[in-house]
Amino acid sequence: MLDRAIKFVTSLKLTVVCLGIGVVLVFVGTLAQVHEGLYQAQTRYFKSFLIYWSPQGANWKIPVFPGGYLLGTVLLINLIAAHIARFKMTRKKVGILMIHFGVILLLLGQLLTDMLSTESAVKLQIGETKNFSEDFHDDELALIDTSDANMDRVISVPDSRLEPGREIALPSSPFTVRVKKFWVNSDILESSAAGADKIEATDGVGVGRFVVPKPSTTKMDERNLPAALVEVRAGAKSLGTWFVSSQVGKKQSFTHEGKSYNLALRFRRHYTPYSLTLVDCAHDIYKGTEIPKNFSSRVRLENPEKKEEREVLIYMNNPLRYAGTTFYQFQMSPPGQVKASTLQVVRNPSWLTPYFSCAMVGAGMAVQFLTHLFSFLKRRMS
Amino acid sequence: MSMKQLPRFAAIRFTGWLVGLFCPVFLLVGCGNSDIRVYTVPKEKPSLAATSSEGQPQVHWQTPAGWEEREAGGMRLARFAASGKDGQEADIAVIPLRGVDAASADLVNIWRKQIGLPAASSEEISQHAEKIKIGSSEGQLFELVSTEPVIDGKSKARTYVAVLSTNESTWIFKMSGHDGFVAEQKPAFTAFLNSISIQGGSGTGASEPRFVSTNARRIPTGPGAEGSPSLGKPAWQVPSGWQEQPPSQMLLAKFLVGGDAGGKAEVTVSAFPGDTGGLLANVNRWRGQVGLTNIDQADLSNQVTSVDVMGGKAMLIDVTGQNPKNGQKARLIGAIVPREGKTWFFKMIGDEQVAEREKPIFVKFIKTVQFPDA
Repeated sequence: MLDRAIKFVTSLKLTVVCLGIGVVLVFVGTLAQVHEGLYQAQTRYFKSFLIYWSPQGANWKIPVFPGGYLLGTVLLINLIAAHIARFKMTRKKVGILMIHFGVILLLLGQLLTDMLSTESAVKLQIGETKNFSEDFHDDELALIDTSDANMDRVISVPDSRLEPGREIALPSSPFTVRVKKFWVNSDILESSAAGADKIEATDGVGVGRFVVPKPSTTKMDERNLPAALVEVRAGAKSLGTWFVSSQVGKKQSFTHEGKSYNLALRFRRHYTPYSLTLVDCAHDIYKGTEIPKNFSSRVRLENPEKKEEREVLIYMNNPLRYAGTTFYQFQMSPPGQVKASTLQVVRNPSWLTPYFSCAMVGAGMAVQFLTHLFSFLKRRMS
Repeated sequence: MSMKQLPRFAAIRFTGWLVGLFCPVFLLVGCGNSDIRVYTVPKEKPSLAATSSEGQPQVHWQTPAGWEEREAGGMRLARFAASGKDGQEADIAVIPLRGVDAASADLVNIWRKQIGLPAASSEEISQHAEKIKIGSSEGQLFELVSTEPVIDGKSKARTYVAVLSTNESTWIFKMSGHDGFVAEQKPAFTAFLNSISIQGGSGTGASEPRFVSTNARRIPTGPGAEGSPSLGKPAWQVPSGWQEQPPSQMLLAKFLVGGDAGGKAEVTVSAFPGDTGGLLANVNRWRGQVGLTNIDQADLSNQVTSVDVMGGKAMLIDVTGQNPKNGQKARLIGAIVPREGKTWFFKMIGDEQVAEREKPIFVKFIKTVQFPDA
C-alpha cells in the first residue's frame, strides 16, 4: 500500500497531469480577471486549494477544480519525492540536483510570499506622522480601549469574520459583538433614495442615515468600502447598535464601567515600531500638461528602539528599504491642493528566495553544461 | 531503483521527509489573516497636518516693522521672516489646526523636539506658560531655548510658541530662529499677536486631499478623514421629487430628476480648490458637454447671469445643445459659486423640457445651500 502511494507521488505521469492542469488553470484564471478583477481572480484561482462553484443565489458550493496552492503543493511533493526515491548522487548529476533544488526553492518561496507578504499604503499630509500603514484589501472591526492616558488597546476583528448573525466574543474584554448586517461594499446617503436601506443604528453616525449596498468592485483602481451594523453586548446587556463603515472617519465612542471605547470599521492597520513623518513632497508635471513627471517625498524616519532619526528622499524607482519593508512612492496630491503623499508599503520576508533560486538554477545549468563539455573534450582528446 | 525494490526503512524515511517538509507549510496556510488580534499602540498624537488650505478662515494682522511676508505653504496660513545682524534670522508662522482640540503640551513637545530638547510633562509645560493677549482673546505663550548650538552647529535656537484655543480650532503662532535675535524680536512678536483678528472658519476639520497618480490604484477616502464625501456635504434643502443617488468619484452629491414623458435630468454638485481655470474655461467646458463651440471673453457676459446665494453670488449659465452620446436635444443649466478659494459647481443636464420645468427649483435649491465657510 505504502509502495503504491510512493509510486503514485513519484510518477512522471503525475508531473505531466499537474502541468497540464496548471496550463488550464492559468488560462481560466487569466480570463476570469476580465469579470472578477485581478485581486479576486488571483485569490479564487491561484491562492486557493480548490476552486468552488455555486449556482446564483445558492448558499452551498462545490469544488470543481484544483486551485493554485493544491497544484503547487502536489508538484512540489512530486518533485521532492522523485528525488528522494530515484535520485542517485553522482558527480555527473550535481548540476541537475542544483537545478531541481533551485526550482523547489522557487516554488516554496512563492508559497511563502503568498502567505507572508503584505501590501498596504501609508498616506501622509505634510507634517503628519504615522507608525502604521493601511491594507489595500483587508478591513478590520476595531474596538479600541482609549481609557489609558498613553496607550490604546486595540481588539481587531478581520472583516472576513463579519458574517450577518454571527456573534464574536472579543478576547480580553467583557464584550461580545453581534453582526446584524454586513455590506461588502456600500455608500452612505443623508436621505432616502431608490435602493437605499435605512440604517437601523441606535447610536453613532448611522442614526437617520441610509446605506446603499453596492456590488463588490472588480476594478483595479477602486477598493471596496464595507459597512456593518453591529450590536455591542456586555454579558446579556446590549450597549447599543452602531453603524460602522470604512468611509466614516468620525470617532464613535461609548463608555462601559468607567472606561471609554471607540468602535470603527477601518482599513486593516499594520503597525511598525518606527514612524515616518512627511517633511515635504513634490509633484512635478510636464510643462503645459497635467501629466505627472515625478513624485518625490522627503520623510523623516524615527526609530526610538534603535535611536535612529534621519531624513530619506523617496521618489519613483527609488524606494526606502527599511527593516524588511519597502516604501515606494505611490500617489501624490495634485498641485494646488493640500500637500500629501501616499507610499506603497510592501513587506515580503521571502523576497530574496527568487534571486537565490534563479542563481541556483543558473549555476546548476552552468555546472551541468561544463560537466558534459569536459567529458566530451576528454573523450575527444583521448 | 524501482518502487517495488524500495526497502521498508527507506519508505519510512521517505514519508518522514515529506511530512516534515510540508507540515510547517500547511500550518502556515492555516494561520491566515483571519485571527482576532489584540495589541496596544501609543495614542495618536494630534498632527500638525490636521489642517487644510481649503476654506481658510479670515485672519487679519498688522505686520511689525522689519518683518517681510513670505509665501505660506503646507500647513502655514501665513509666514514672515525677519533678519538681523550677522545673518541672524527669525521665522514666524501662523498655523491653524481646525477641528483639532490639541493639548498644548503635545504641541509644545513637537517644537521642543525640533530644537533638541527632551519631551516635558504637561505640568512642567503649563508651569512655564505665560498668558498673552492674542487679538481679543487670551492665549498661552511658551518660550523654548535649545541647550546646544543646533543652528549650523554654531548658534542656539530660540522658539516662541503662542497657542490660542477657540471653540473649533487651535491656533499656533510660532517665531523661531537664532537665540539672540529671536529674543530681540519678542516685543514685535507680542505686538503682532495683539493685532491678530480672526473671523470665520467653520472648523469643518481636515479635508481629504484628492489623489492623482500615474499608477492605476486609487486609495479611496479612508478613516483618516473626518467625514467622507457623502457625510461632508453642506446643509441644503433637497427639493421634493429629486432622488439622491450615490455620487461617483469627485462628486459631492448627485440627484436624479424624472420627467413625465420618461425624460430625465441629472443634478450634480462638486467643489474644487482654486478657481479651476476661471469662469470662461468652465463655461466653455459645459458648452462642450452639449456639443456647443467655445465662446470668448467678450461673449461671456451675454451667456452668464448672476444669482444671489447665501453669502455671495452664483454665476448661472443656461445652454441648449445636443447630447453627444445619443444626438438628442439636451439642456445644461449650471451655477458656479466661488467661495473662499474654492469653486462650487451645480449642474443640471438632461431632457430639455424637464430642465425647463426644474430650472426655478434648481435655482431655489442653490439658494438653500449653506456653504461650509459661509
